[in-house]
Amino acid sequence: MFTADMISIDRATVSVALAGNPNAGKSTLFNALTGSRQQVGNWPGKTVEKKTGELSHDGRRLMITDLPGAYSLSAYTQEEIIARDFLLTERPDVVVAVLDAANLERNLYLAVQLLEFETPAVIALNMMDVARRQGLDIDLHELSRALRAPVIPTVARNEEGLREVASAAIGAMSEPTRPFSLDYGPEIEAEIAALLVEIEHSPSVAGHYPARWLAVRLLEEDRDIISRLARLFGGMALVERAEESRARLFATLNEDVDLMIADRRYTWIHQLASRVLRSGREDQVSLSDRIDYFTTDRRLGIPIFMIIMWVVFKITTDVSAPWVDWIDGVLSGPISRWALAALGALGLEQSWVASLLVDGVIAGVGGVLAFVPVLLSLYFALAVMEDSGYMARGAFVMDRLMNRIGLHGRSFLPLMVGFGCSVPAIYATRTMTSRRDQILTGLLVPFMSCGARLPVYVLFAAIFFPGQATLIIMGLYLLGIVVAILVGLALQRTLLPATAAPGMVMELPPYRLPNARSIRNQMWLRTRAFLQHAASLILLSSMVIWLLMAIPTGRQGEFAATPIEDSVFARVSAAVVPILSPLGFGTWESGGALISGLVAKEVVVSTLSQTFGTEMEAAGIAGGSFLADLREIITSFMAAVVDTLRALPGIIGINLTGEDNVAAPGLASAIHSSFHASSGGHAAAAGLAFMVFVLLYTPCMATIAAEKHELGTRWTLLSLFGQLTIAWLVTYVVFQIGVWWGG
Amino acid sequence: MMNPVIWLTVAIVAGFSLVATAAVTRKRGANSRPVCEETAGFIAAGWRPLVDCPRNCDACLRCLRVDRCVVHRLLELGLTPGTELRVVQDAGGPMLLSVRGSRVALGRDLAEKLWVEINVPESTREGLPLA
Repeated sequence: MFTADMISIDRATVSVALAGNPNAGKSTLFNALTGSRQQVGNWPGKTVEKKTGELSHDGRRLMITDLPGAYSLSAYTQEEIIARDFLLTERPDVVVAVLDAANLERNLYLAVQLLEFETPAVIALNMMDVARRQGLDIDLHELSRALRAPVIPTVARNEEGLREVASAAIGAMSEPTRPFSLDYGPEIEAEIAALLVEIEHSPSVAGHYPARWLAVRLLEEDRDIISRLARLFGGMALVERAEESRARLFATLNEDVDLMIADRRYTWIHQLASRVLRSGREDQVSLSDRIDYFTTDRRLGIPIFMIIMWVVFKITTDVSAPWVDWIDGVLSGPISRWALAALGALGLEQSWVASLLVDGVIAGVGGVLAFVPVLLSLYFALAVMEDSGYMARGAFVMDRLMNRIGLHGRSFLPLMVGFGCSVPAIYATRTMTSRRDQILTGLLVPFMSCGARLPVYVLFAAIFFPGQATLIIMGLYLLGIVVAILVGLALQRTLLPATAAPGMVMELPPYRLPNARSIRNQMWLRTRAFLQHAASLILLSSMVIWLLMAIPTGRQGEFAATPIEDSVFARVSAAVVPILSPLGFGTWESGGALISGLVAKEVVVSTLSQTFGTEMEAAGIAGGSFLADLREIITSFMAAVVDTLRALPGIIGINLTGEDNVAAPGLASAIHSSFHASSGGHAAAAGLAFMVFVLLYTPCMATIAAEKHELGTRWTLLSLFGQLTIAWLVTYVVFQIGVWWGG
Repeated sequence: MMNPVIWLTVAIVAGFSLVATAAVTRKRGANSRPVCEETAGFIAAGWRPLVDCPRNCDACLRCLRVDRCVVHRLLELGLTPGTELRVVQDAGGPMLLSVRGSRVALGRDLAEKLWVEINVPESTREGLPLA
């Protein structure tokens, strides 16, 4: 028997699976039930997010797994396979099917398949508020009777009906299962009956799968099931029987069996719906439609999308910037001072341990923590866009353009996110439906110039092109986009040919107000996942660079106290000078800065200031008391808040912040003269070339880590070396043209 | 007089953009619909490909001439033969349809392969002017 005998009523732990269509409010329900007691991870071997959580109710512990949203339980998409596998192998005690009351017919298609699994089920009829607004009146009794499962009306975003769902789930576990079955018509039912007999004669098969469900699946020629059965004793015989049944049915019905089955399901559902739904003003022109009139319009759609993307972009850069500075200030100020004080108590103040701690560990940690405000604001913006339903419109609108360059509308989002930071952008490629699309998009993400490269542009544009800085910077961003398009086209024709992937089939959920709780959840959980993953890598690389800078090569200079030009770092950087000479900046200082940029692009500027021997900002040695430091932390915190608020109107173009100061003049002239020398007098061309190189070359360690995680090692290596090569070639061209033009 | 290097940047970007645009907007071959027996029969029966339906047009889906793996995606979303649908938006690229109460976006290549029977002549819907 497939289902375990439900004898014990008072088991303390109940395993619950949440299933339902995407956009049916399943995640909202999950968040409302589990609150902060949830974990986000990956389904093993897949790139789909897995969420589990728990809830205490009525003295029991409910372990809830949020299955990926799916429209059916066939085996065509990753989400469906995951959902199905979970139900088959984990055998949860209860399945809670979350249905959108305003879209009942379509949602019932999945529900019916879930019920055929013979696992005890509870129906959470969600979004009742929307249904009521549309004038839909649903006969819950009749629905429950037909589906043989309790039906609980819920409004997950208002937390209505949650307790009842939990109670019903506990109750369903202990009640004897009343098997649900749908009449597929006499011909098909006859074949099902014949197959059931066969299944009963194969105990190994019968033990793994619910009998009737399996019979239907075999008739539908479910490839996944067929391959699994092949491994079971007696499985192949069953498969052959099913093949014969299908042939008989095709001859009789003159139609593919799986289409017939789908059709019968919908017929049954439609009849049920007409019994159960009353006085609905179906298919009226809704508010969503009115908004879509503009957002999906042929001419207006893309400009609207661009504006919204620009707002997202601004949020991640301007609104998070004050916090990045605050963290940086706190770490290099009070925290460093406290660390030194602590070491001083141990007498280690002057030793290399102090340097390791302050310049290595704290700087490294700062490098990681600096990402946090950026990621939080990015995930906030993304969560709002997704929750409100606008994201789907964006994909819709950009689809045509993206198709021209071999991508899909869905690719546009990760690429836009990449303008803020490449790391979440790579993770955002998970939403791609096909692996090939995911890889192609992931490879192009680094060309979207990320926020960390901006300080380099600002510095160099100010040094070499004063007065035209904005134009230069915009040009760089455009160049990144253009190169991405060309690389995408090239990849399309060579390594990543477009699969015969079908065009877009996507549901556009109705617009709605984003849910604060789910946004907060998404922001936090995703940032945490990033930190756990990238932190170690960045920390490690920071310490390696510190080490290289600390080891002296000459006889003079001791460990951690050498002038930088005598360190191993300088030696290593000198090794890349010959490669950089044709590009106009063949100096160990520049090379060293670029190498350090492999750790994080922000580091390029600080390394430049280190290698050119000028201190950018004194770390405030004159530290006062502990209290003074605390006060400093708090006042700078308040300043950051004020700056954030000032930045908000900046998003719509009202600039209230002061202009950023130009870099310290000492550094500027040092860089200028160095570039002047290394390029044979063409400083501006070399400066531009340097910026182009920074734009295009290998991204930072965190991005590489994300690429390895999402795309796999092979493609990551391609990205690494490919970008280096492209960067070199394009920079060479830029420099040579610059020399020739500048005269 | 602007720094020549500025001109250089502009020239490079413009050059690249031209190349990219040219590559991207290459004229495709005329899209000839396969005129086979089956589709000839459809046309005779008064059916049309979905792409021929203007905005606000009501139609009944009759036939899905698509691959197996795609057909399931469509079925799952409610697009079964005999289903009523309405064209909400036709942006030249993908089409937006109202099916069984929800909104579904379909790529144009797919929309070309769905044959429908237009049942209600275009009428003005509340609030939305005619295409």
